[in-house]
Amino acid sequence: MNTWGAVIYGIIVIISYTYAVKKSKSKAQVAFKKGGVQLLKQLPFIIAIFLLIGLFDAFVSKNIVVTIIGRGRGFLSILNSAIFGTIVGGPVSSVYPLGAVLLKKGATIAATAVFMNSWIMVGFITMPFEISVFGKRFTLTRNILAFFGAIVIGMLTGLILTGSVL
Amino acid sequence: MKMLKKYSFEILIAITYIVLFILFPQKTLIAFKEGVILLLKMLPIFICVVFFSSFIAVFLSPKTIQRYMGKETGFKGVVLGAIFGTLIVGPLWILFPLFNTFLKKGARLAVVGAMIGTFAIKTPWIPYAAGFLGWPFMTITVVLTLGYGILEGILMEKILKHYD
Repeated sequence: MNTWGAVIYGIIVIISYTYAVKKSKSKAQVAFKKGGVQLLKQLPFIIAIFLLIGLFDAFVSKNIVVTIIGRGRGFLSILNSAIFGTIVGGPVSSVYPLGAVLLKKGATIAATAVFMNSWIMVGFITMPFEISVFGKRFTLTRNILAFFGAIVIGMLTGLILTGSVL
Repeated sequence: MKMLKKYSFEILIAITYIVLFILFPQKTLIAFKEGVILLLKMLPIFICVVFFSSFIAVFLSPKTIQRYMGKETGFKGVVLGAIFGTLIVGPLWILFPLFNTFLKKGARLAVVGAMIGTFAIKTPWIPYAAGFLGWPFMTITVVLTLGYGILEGILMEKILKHYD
């Protein structure tokens, strides 16, 4: 699964760069260089994140996760994960492995999806900056809609995959 | 000092590992092994993500997108904005000033709203995410987020219009 995903993605990248070179050699070079720089920049972080996931998996007991966002917690599990996701936030490269380890530890699909959605969609830490750019009304409206969207999308994901919204 | 701040997260993880290794050597070793295996498994896709993102950033710059966004665009424009939103890469807050420029230059609020909404999809990251969560999960998330992004844009316009 992962291997095929990587192979297909690799082919897509090769096709994109073939197109890029044909269209403009200098722009293709810029893109490639940018990718290389980004790779070196993000590599230490991603190594640290994966090592953190390893720690999480080895040291955090299933019980803790289940009590906070597991089955049987009802809507509280949804609300907990929405609030966690909203407050924490951070690079998107870290949220997916974190979601996977939460699922493994007994979180419900809906709660995990809500956690990841709110992490990505709602910007709590960056809110002051968003207000300075767009103003208070725009920022509040957008973040409130994103917060509810994260919950609705996550619950629907759970409903479709497991037949249960909680 | 600057390096220390730049890599504070990485250093924190390293210190945590050292402390935990002294206290619980066996468990920590298992954690380390799992982290490394996960890293090796996902590294090829991660490299693809980075290079595909930089390709998009250079060849589909938001300035290209700007041409497609007029005030008169109807529902079709909102859908188009939503589709562009899925392709934009980078952290959301970096793009805020640019989105604001779109608005100032006459883009419809619903189009920009939908774009910010579907920005959560991050197309280059989808295979990476699916590696962790599986394709059924990601397919559903992508479809629902796309739909909600469009709705979010339209709702934002409806709500904020009253205040202008």
